[in-house]
Amino acid sequence: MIWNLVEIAVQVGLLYVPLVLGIYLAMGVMSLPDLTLQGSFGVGGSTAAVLAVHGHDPVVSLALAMVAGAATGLVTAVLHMKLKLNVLLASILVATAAYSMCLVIMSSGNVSLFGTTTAFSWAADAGLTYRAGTIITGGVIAALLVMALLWFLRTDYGLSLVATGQNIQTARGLGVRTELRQAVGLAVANALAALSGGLVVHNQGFMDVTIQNGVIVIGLAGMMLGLSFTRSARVLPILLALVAGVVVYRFAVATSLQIGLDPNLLQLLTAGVVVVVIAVRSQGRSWLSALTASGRRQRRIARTRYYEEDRVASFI
Amino acid sequence: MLASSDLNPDLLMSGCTKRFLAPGRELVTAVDDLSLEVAAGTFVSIIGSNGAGKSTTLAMIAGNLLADEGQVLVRGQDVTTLPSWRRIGLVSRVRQNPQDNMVSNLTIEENFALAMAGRRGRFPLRRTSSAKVRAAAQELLEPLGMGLENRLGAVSGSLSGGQRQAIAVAMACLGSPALMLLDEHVAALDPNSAARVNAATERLVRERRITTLMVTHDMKHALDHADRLLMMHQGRIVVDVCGEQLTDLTPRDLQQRFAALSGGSLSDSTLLAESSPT
Repeated sequence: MIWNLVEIAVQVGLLYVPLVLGIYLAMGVMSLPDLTLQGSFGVGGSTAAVLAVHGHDPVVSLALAMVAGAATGLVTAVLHMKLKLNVLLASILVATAAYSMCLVIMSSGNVSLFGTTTAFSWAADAGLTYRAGTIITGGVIAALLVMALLWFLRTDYGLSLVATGQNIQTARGLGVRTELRQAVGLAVANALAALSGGLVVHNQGFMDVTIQNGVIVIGLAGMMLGLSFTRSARVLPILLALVAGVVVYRFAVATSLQIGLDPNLLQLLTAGVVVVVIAVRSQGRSWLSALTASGRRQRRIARTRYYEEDRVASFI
Repeated sequence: MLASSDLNPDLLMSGCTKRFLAPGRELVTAVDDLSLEVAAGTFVSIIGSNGAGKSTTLAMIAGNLLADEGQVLVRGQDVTTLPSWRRIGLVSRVRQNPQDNMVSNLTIEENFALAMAGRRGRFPLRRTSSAKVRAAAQELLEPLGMGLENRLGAVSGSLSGGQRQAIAVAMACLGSPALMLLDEHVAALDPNSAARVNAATERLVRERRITTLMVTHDMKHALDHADRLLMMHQGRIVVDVCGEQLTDLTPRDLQQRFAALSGGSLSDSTLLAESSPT
């Protein structure tokens, strides 16, 4: 049974790897709180579904889904750059608008891909099981993306993206046109989220406009779990940990459902995973230290410092 | 009073004005109709009280702030409206806070790679060859005598403030820009590190004959090491001395002259720096 759960976790988890890499690029590397990713996931899913129904090659439909996602990300970037909207606010607006865009793209609330050629159809022709085909396709795409991101973040251009995410003034002082880097970062991140949406839709054989709901938290859960596996600051360990993180998250979901969790509680479970991982990462040692008097004192000092140094940023 | 005017000065500011909307919707003039000409290879020190407009002046030259009025020419090129990232081939600025001068979670080598790409104005989708970056970094870091050339793989956030400022000055020298702007770049350092970084800075810019504008509160250092000294007050240059006039000047004279010219007073730190034995 465990092995079955592992297979399910790998099968579904790999489809969400692009999304997690996108979230990491936007939030981890660029330090931009981009919720557009959720909308791009839906836009990518809709685009990939409609193109598959119209008989386009899976590679073409997934590629165009990525283009649609990148365009969605660019809308957020333009709102930020031209109208000086805070990225969080701009991305909430665009994600909301993207929901309608999905309905427009599909001309309805859902689309069935029954009988179409999807990115996973080749498995049946090759005599493989559906699950094996899914794992191979997802694995190849995940591996390609990890390698691509690894290469990209080590180029001069990639370094300038990292610098922009660290400190805009420093980056500009080094000659980086930071507003352009933010736009590129958002476009690439959203293209990845859209690819994830396209893969999920092709895999499950239908697209429903609601699949994007809460998907950002799924990605966050995978990312936070993954980041808790490594303390390294280097790119390769982080990327591998992200892939592992999303698979482990999916394993937790599959196990919960297997042992009879009410599927209605799934979103609650996901949010809970994010909170628990963050809490353990930042508070774990502190909780243990509360067993001693000096530890409690240290905790009080740390807590006061947190409140003293807390900052607010108005985004209107 | 301007320095002996060169045919092609490295910096030419004319009629530069910068106003800010202070809290309470009150318009404050930070720099007021400032004109300045700096000949190539000159080491200029700028002193003045807090709020005198020193940093605003540097920011207008570097492009972090654009002048409301007036013109900024660097080596004859009009940069008045260029954003900072497009000026770095001409102007390098080193800030007070070490964190602002390099990307702290990248290694020294990666920071140099970025700075080199920025100087070329191209960030290609490939990595500048490590050998090239290391050679350039070593050439600049070795003369500092701080052993930094052997630590190129170190993540820059793990270095001390003094080391980071020294590296920042070295990075700012890449590609020999026309102007080097030092904005109180040793103010956050302890006196020993400050002296070391100051010495390293002077060696680098003198060797390369880079025109330098240094904002400082250390009046003695300003008098001893600069070719030309500017004192600012309320957005204007109130003292401008160079050559023999500068060598004859003592901190005491300067203080009196400042008080007489502006009717204001120097910042406490300038007074402290003046009175402390060195």
